Amino acid sequence: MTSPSPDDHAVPSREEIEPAAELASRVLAELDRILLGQRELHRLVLVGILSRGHMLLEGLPGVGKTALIHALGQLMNLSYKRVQFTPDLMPGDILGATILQEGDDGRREMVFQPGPIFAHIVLADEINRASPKTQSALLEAMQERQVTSLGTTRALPEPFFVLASQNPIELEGTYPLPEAQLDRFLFKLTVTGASADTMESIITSRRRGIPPAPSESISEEDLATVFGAVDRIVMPRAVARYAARLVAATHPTAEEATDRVAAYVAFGASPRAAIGAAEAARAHALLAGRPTVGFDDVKAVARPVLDHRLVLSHQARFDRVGAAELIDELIAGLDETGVSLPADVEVGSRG
Amino acid sequence: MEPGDADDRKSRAALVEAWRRRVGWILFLRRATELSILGLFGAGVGVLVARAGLRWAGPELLAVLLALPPLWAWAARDALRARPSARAARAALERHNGAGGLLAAEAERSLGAWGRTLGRIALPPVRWRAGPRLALLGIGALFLVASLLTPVSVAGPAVAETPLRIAAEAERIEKQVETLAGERVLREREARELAKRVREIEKHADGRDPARTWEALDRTRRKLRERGEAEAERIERQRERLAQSASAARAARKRAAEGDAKLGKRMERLEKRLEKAAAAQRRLGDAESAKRLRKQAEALEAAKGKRGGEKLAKRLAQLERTAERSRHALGQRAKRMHEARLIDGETLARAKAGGCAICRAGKGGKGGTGRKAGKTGPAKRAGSLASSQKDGARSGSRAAKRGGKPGAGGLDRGPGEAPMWRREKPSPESGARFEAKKLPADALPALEHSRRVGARAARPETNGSAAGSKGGGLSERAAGEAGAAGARVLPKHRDAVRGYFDRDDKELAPG
Repeated sequence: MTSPSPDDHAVPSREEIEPAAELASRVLAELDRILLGQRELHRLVLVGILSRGHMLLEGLPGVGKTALIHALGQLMNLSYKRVQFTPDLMPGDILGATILQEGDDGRREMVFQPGPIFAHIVLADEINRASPKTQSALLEAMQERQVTSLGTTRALPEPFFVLASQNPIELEGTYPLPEAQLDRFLFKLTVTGASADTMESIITSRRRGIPPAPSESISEEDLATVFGAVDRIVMPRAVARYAARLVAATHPTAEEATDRVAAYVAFGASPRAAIGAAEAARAHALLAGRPTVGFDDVKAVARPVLDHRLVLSHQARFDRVGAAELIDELIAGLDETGVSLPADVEVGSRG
Repeated sequence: MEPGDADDRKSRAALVEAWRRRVGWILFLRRATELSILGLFGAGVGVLVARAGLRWAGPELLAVLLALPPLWAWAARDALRARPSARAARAALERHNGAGGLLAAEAERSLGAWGRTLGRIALPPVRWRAGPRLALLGIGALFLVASLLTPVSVAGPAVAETPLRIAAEAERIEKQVETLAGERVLREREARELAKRVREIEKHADGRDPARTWEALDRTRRKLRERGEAEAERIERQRERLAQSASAARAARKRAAEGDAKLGKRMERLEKRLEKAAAAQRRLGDAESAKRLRKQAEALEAAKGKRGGEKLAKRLAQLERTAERSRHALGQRAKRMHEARLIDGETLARAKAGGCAICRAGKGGKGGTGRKAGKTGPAKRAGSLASSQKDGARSGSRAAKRGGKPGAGGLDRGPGEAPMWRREKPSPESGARFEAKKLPADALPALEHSRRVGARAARPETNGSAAGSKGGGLSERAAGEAGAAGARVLPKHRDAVRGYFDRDDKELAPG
C-alpha cells in the first residue's frame, strides 16, 4: 500500500488509476454475475471493501447477505469466517482462547487458539442477538485491527473487514448495538428483497439457488494495487468542504441543518462519519475510473455512511420519519459549491 | 506537463475569474439597485423637505442625485466582498460541468493528462430575479420626479405659501420716501436705497415669518418718521426764526417811521437775524428762499444809511413779505409731510404754529421786541409739552399717532399692522332685516336709569391699548369699577373693519 507523499502535487496518473479501476470493475461485474438483482448493493459493498471499512448489512433472512460476503471473499482471495451470534456467545468464542496443550515432546504449554476473528472477512451474522459483552469484544478488533488476550496483543490479518448483519424483525431478546459500536461501521446497507424477475432468473438458472463459483479472483498484489490507488485518489478542498458541511448539517443546531433535521435528529454524525465519507468517496471515484473525488461521489456514499449514525428523537419515531429520509433531504437541499448568494440570485445547475 | 496542458489550465482559470466577475457584476447591480431605491426615496423626501421647509426650488435640487454615485461605490464595495471566492467559483464550475472533481482539484494539483478529458468548460448561468427590485427602483424614481415637480403649494404648508400682503403699506412708505426726497430731506442716493429696501421687503414677504417682515417695515417707517419729525422741528424753528425776522422788520418799519434813534442797532440785529435765517433756510434745502433773504439783508444794509427814507420802509415791508412767504412755504412743506403721514397732526400744528406767539406778540404786543418774542416761543412749547404729558388720554393719543397706528410693530408690540383683505364677494345685504333682540336686563343698564354711586380718585386704568375703541357697557360691566377694559380692534384688522364701514354702496347691491 502506498500513501501520497506530501510533495506530490499531481493527481495520480492514468497508469496508476486505470488498472486499479479495471480490477475493481471486474470484481464488481463478477459479483453482479454471481448474485442477481443487487447491483447497487454490490457497488456499495465493494466501495466499503476498497475503503477498508466495516459494514452492517440489514435485511430479512434469505435475501443473500451471507452469499454476498462469501462470494466477495472468494473473489478477493481473502479468508472468510462466519460467526452466528447468539445470546450465549462469549467473547472468547470470537477472539480465541488460550488453552493448555501437550506437545509432541510431551511438554504442556498454554497455546493461543485464534478465534474466527482472525480472518480477512468476518461475517457477524445477526450481531444484535449477542450480549453487549460479546458485541464489545469486537470493538477493539474493528477499530484497532488487533486483539488483546491475556495481555498479549495480536494483529489481525490485513485487510480485515467485519461485515455484520442484523435482522430488522424479531427484535425480542436482541441487544441493539450501542452507538459507539455502530459508529465503527463505515456503512449500513439495507439489503432488500429480490424482484420477481430476479427471482425468476434465480429459479431458472440456479439449481437450489446455489450461486455459481467465481470464474476469476484477484491476487493479493492486485488487491494491494487497488488499495494503493484508492489512497492516491485526490479529494479537492471544495469537495472535502462539501462532505464536511454535509456531515455538520446532520446536527440539529448546525447552521445549515434543515428544519426537519432540527426537529427530528437528537444527535448528528460524528467526525468519524466525515472521515468515512471521504474514504468511501475516494473508493467510489476509483470505481468510476477517476483520480479525483467529485461531489457526486460524496452524495453516492453519504446515505450509507450517515444512516446508522443519526440518533433520531422520539418525535421522529412518532412521525415515522427515518434517517435515510432526512439524509436525502439534506443532500438535495445543501448547495455543493458553498457559494453564498442572496436568495434572489441563483446559479443554474446542469440540465 | 505539456505546454498545451498549461494553456488549458490558464484558460480554465480565466473562466473561473470570468464567472466570478459575472457574479460580481450581478451582485453589484443588485446592491446598487437596492441602495438606489433607498437613495431615490430618501432624495425624494429630502427634496420635499427642502421645498416645503426651506423654500428651495430650481435645478439646484437635482444635486440630490449626487448622492447616488457614493451609494454605487458602496454597492461596488459590498459586491466585491460578497463575490464568491475563487475556490467556490471553481466548485460552481465543477458542479455545472460534472467534472468529477478534476476541475476543483486543478486549483491544488496538476491534472496532467487528465486535463484533456475535461473538454469545453461551460460557465454556469447566474440569474437574478430583479423584477420586484426594478419595480421599486421605478417607483423610487417616479417619487423623486414627483417630489421635484410637486408645486410648493402642495409640498408646503399653506401658511408658508400665502404671501403677506403689504403692498399698501409698502406703497405708503415709498410715498413717504418720495416726499422726503422731494423736500430734500433725503439725499437722492439715500432715497433710492430706502425705496429699494422697501421693494425687497415686499418681495420677500410671505407667511412664514410675518413678524420679520413687519419689523423690517416698521424700522423703515420709524426711520422715515424720525427724519420727518426732525424736519418738522427744523421747520418749526425756521418758521419761528422767520416770524421773528418779520416781526422785527415790522417793528423796525414802525420805529423808522417814528424816527427812533436806536433804529441802527435794531437794523443790525435784524440783519444778523436775517443772516441766520438765510443760513437755516439753505440748510432746509430751500436755496432760493435763502438767496432772497440774503438779498433782502444786503438791500437792507444798503438802505440803512438813509434814515427816515421811504426806501428803507419799502425794503422792510418787502422783507416782511419775503419772510412771510418763506414761512408759508415751510408750512406747506410740513403739510405735505403730514399728508404723507410722516408727521402727525399735532407736530404739523406745532410746526405751523412756529412763531405764532411771536407773531401775535409782534402784532398785538405793546412795543414788544423780537428778543421778548424769541423767549416766549420755547417757553410756550415747554408748557405745552408738560400739559401734554400730564394728560394721559392725550398722551395715549399721541403715542398712537406717533406709531401711525397702535401696535405698529416692534419687538414688544407684535408684528404690526396687517391689512386683512376681504376678497370674497360680499353678501347682499340690501333689505336685510335684523331680528330685534332684547338684551337681558343686566346686560346693558339703561343709561338714563344709571346713577352715580361714587367716584374713584384714581383714573381708571386701561388695558394698555394705546387706542382702539373703548369698551362699551358690556365690557365695562365685566371690568368693574377698578378699570375700563377696551374692546380693541387688533391693528391687523383695522383696515378690514374700516373697509367694512367705508365700503361702497355698490358692494351691498344684491347679486
